[in-house]
Amino acid sequence: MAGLVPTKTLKNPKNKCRFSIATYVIPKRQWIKKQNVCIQFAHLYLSFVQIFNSFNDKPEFMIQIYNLNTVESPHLVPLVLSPISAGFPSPATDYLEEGIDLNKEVVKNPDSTFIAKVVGVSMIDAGFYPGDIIVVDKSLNAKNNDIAVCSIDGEFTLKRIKIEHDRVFLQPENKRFSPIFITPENDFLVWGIVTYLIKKTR
Amino acid sequence: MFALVDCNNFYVSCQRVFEPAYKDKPVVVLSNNDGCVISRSEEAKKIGIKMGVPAFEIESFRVSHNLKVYSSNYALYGDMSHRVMSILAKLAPEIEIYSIDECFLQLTGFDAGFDFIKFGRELRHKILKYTGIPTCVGIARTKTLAKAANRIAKKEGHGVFMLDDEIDIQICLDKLSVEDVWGIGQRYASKLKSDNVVTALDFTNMPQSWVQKRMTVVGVRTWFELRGKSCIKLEHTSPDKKAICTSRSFGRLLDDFGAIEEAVCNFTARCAAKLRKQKSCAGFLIVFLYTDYFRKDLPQNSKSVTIKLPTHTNSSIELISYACNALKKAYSAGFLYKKAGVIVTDIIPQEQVLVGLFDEVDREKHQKIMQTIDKLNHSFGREKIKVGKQGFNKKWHLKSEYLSPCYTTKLSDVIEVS
Repeated sequence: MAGLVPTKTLKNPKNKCRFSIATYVIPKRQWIKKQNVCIQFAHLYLSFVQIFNSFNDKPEFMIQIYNLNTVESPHLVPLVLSPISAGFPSPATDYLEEGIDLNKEVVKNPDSTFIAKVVGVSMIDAGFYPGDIIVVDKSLNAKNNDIAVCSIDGEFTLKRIKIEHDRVFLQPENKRFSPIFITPENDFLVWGIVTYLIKKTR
Repeated sequence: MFALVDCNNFYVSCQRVFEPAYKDKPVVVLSNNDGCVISRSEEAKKIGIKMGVPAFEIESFRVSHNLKVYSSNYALYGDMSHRVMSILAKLAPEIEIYSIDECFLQLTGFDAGFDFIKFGRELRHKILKYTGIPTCVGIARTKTLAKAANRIAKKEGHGVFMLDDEIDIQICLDKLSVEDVWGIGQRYASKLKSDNVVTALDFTNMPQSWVQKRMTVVGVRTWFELRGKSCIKLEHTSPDKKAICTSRSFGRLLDDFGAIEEAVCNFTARCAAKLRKQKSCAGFLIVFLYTDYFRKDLPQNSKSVTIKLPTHTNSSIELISYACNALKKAYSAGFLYKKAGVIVTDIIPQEQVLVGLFDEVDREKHQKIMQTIDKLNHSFGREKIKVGKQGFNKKWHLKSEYLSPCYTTKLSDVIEVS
């Protein structure tokens, strides 16, 4: 350890290491930047060392890093295997999780999910206002009371689907509109089921 | 077993998903620059519109048959294709995306009694339900036979056809003419026909040595495939390109150097971006410029200029400056130009670039700039950041009068429902 100053404790760059955070000492901070490649290699090496370490009581390891920019003799960096007391390691490390990804929550099936925009007021009592964005999943099968994008005689429409015994009708959510009964003469298709309604509030 | 899944009239089908009003109507999609017909609905085929006819010839159908015409919208087709392929990738052990609307599936490791036809029907049903795109599925022991089976699936209208029984194969190959066999091009087909080999069955009945002599090992492979022995495996990664070309016809004839230069700079930037995407650099740059061949009344002048680059590069800035030099040599005033293009070739991996002794370009800096530009354009949209020479006039821009909204890739363009 003589002559080496512990200037920086490096954390694993991607937090993907399955082992607890490795700590080791590197002589110069500037030097670290230049030797990015070597440092990454050192990370790998360290992971390996740690596995090995778990089987041994008092191992000693050295990492040899070659400076590519100069013709000096290789730097020898001693490896400190116990955490240096530069602060208590974060207790949250083992519990790190990815943030909430709304795409993942809202779009369950990306292959069959499409986005549409609400125009008109026929569904206003169900909260669908003009300009709102809706998420439509084509893969789902229609159930009674689903809100769906349907195509009827070549026109798209947003309505609540009602299935009663032997008839199907489309129920608007606005008292000023009347339900649409589907007959065999209609060219009717449930285009997709609305799974989310997205509104802008400011 | 192999299956070939092919989307029916793909571009037209993509348009119809978002415009159900045209479900049973004649619809066509035009090529880039609204040149000619490249995709037709069944109804359009029925009223006699042929593949590849120029746009002006179908003008009358728009009134007489209520023909719906679209300009090609590759943002939409690309996204829909991606969805279809993604569904297939989840359903089959291995796939090869063969083109924007075709995909080979390798169906190995299934039990002896596995019902391939049922599987094919489920594929079709799922893709139709999930994306709205109708498909056809051909199933057989080899890729070439699967392709033939797909033709039958499409023509006979059931959507799924399996070609496995020896007698079925014989009957099918007898009906299939040689030029329609996958892997036999026009030139070989006419050669074969002059030797009285007209159908695929004739071809398979020729001895192997005969095929070897006329069509090399590639022909022999097709010959084996048609006889039910699989020789062509799935290709998982497309090999890196040996030359990259970006070329377009202009929206109208151009004589102004500035406008043509702007177009050429944009084509070059596109080539450079493609080079960077496959992590390679080019050593030669070719710029070509054509006048309108069909306008016999105008003076003709078509030229191409090749430049050997001092060092292989993929920097837009560097390539554009060379392209401008090349264009200056190719261009002469007083002509009306119809088309220009840029080809980069002598492509090598970017790690293998040899830097010249007197090279003065700061390559590291260029690389950093390009990486930054690519990153920004990736997150904010294509060509948000570009080289100044690429300009903003867009006089050269393609004609696309009948472009539909980009329903799946732009929030401002999504379908509206009331």
